[in-house]
Amino acid sequence: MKKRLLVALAVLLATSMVFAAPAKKITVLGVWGGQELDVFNAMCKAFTDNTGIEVQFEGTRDLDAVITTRVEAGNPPDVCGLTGPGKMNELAAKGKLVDLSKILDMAAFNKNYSQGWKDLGTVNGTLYGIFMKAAVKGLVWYNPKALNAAGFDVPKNDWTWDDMLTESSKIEATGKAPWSVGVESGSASGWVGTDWIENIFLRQNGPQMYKNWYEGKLSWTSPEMKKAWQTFGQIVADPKMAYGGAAYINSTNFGNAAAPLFMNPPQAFFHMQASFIQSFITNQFPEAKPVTDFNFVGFPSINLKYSKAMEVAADLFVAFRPTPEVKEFMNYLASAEAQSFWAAGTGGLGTNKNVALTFYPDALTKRAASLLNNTEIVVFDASDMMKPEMNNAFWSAIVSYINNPSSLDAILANLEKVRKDAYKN
Amino acid sequence: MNLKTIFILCIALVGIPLLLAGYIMLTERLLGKAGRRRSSSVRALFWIAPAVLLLIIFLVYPIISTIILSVKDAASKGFVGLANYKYIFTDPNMLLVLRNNLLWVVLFTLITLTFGLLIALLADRVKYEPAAKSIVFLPMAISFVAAGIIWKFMYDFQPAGAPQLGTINAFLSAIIPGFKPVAWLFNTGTNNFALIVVGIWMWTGFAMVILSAGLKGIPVDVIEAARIDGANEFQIFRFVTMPLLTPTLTVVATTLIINVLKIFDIVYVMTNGNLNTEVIANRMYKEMFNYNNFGRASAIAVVLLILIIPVMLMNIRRFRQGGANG
Repeated sequence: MKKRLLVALAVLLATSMVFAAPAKKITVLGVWGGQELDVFNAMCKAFTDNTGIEVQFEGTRDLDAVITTRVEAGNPPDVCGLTGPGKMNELAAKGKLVDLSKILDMAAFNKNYSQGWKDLGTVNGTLYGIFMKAAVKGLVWYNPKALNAAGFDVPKNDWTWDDMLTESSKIEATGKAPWSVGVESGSASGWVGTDWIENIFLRQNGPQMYKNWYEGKLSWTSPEMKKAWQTFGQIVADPKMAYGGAAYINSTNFGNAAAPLFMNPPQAFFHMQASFIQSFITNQFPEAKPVTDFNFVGFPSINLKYSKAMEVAADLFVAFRPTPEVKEFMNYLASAEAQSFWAAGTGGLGTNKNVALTFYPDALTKRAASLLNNTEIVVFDASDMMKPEMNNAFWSAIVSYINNPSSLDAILANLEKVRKDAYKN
Repeated sequence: MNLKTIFILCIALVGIPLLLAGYIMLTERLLGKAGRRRSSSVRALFWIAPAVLLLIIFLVYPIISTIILSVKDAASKGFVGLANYKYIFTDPNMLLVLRNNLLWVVLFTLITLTFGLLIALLADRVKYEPAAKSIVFLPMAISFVAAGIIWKFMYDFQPAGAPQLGTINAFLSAIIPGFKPVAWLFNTGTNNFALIVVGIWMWTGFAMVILSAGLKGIPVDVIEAARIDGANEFQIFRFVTMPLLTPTLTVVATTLIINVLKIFDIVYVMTNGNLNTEVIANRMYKEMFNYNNFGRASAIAVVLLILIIPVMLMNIRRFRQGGANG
């Protein structure tokens, strides 16, 4: 009896070994779904066709939790797509990531990427991340037809914050709300507001102070910080300035927040959002055509010294294992060829300088891409650069501030407490 | 799933029962050598050993390891003493979290029990009882996340004048002239209650089903006797039904409390703890997965465990006292 049992087990084990023969494949973890996943798959298919390496994608909306668990369990994916450098910094500090300079064709990489993107992917002098699918943040979207019909001027590219306020009060006087804002975003609710504060702060204080801020070296209770919040308050703390007031701002998903510009009659005229909002607008209002029905200008400048500054965000890829397959995949990701898929499919802007403008689907996306390529000061979304607990607290603080602007001092004091706690080392 | 995974699955499905069967045969052989007298008590030990081993691996070890992590720093390296616990009981944000859980425990448990009892009592007297009870029980079949999303639509807010998409604001605007729509989830006066309502909606069915079963278990002759003695319906409820139903009520209450202490999904989906709605489990999740602060997350887990222990003990005592009601 026992003998038969042993034989059975041995047979089972032996057969399983046969099946365990390694195939040429890599595993990728990421957040993409829907249209973005289609683009990702198309990009990978071209890779598989060329190299014979199969790409196994695992998608999750809860990337933080999944990647933390898998790294701690010693079972990370080969490659992971992250939504910001924060997690990369953390994983790099723990020594979990592959030094990309050892597996990338660095001559080509140095030629194709601007210093800004290289710096962003570097932690303590080592390159860990390749960025792609970038978005320009802080663009002000408007509906030219609606503005013309109501007799208001279309904003100019070199407008200032004061121009914006003058224009807004003209609209306000007619009983309509000039702005539409929506900050709801599930477990990341509030991030839209952090973009506002970041763009304001950058234009008030410049890139160096901006860097100090996201590195945790600037007090949240400093006068500069408070001023940025109060400037933001000129829009969101005034119920006449933003459509629907605080209740609407906090309860409206960022993806629907541009809708009042396209209602009949329009309920608002301006909307601040990154370049990716274009795909939300065209999904919701298939009739709306870029340039004629909706258009954008840059964020209004405040201190003219910093008017050329631009905030960006992008997804990035990091690698956990330096296998030959991963090496090929990372080199492919860095190529203009791979990035063109994002440009053509989602309007995600290429970080590789060689992504030809012809890949972008329309005039507006082309303009955003050339803005990105030609801007003097590029900074990354500050909240994404902060430690996760700081970033989370910042998001929540936005929601609290919109709900009750008079408690600004208490909100900033709380953020300062989180900063001291998170950056004490 | 590829072939390899299927194969491993087969090995697990076939191999584990084989292993256990082998283990039992082996112990039987050993016991055969020992005398008949001693073998029965030793056999019990042998048979319970695998279960105890699994319990130690999957329950006792994680608890001990969590307690150890809770007195260490964020990266689980340095020893920090009770600093993590001090943070839980002194940080204003954490205190708010504890307050919210208290609010949940009191309101959710009391209201769910009351509604459950009321519906069980009322349904007991009508012909369409099964239909009525099925409808009340239905939400229990929905996952918390789905319920959260459904209620998010129910609570939807649009500015006054715009068409109201949320059921509640639409209904109230329709019946009350000049009603100003409320952002139920984003108004600090209403948001915690709006969340608790979702929990109550989901769990009333559970309380009702168990209480209804308890109600049916009360012997008819006791009630008949009370009626003959001249008791009215209210007196019967107060002096006969209630005392006989108390064990069942306790069981339902403890189950509800244990579940509400762990409440996570509703808050995560609907507000993510913004505007003073955060609860213990959400905070634990954030400390662990977003902030990577293993020390604090573990300390919160230990606090949660300690909070649940008395309720669990009460439940076990009930089970021991036995009876069909348990």
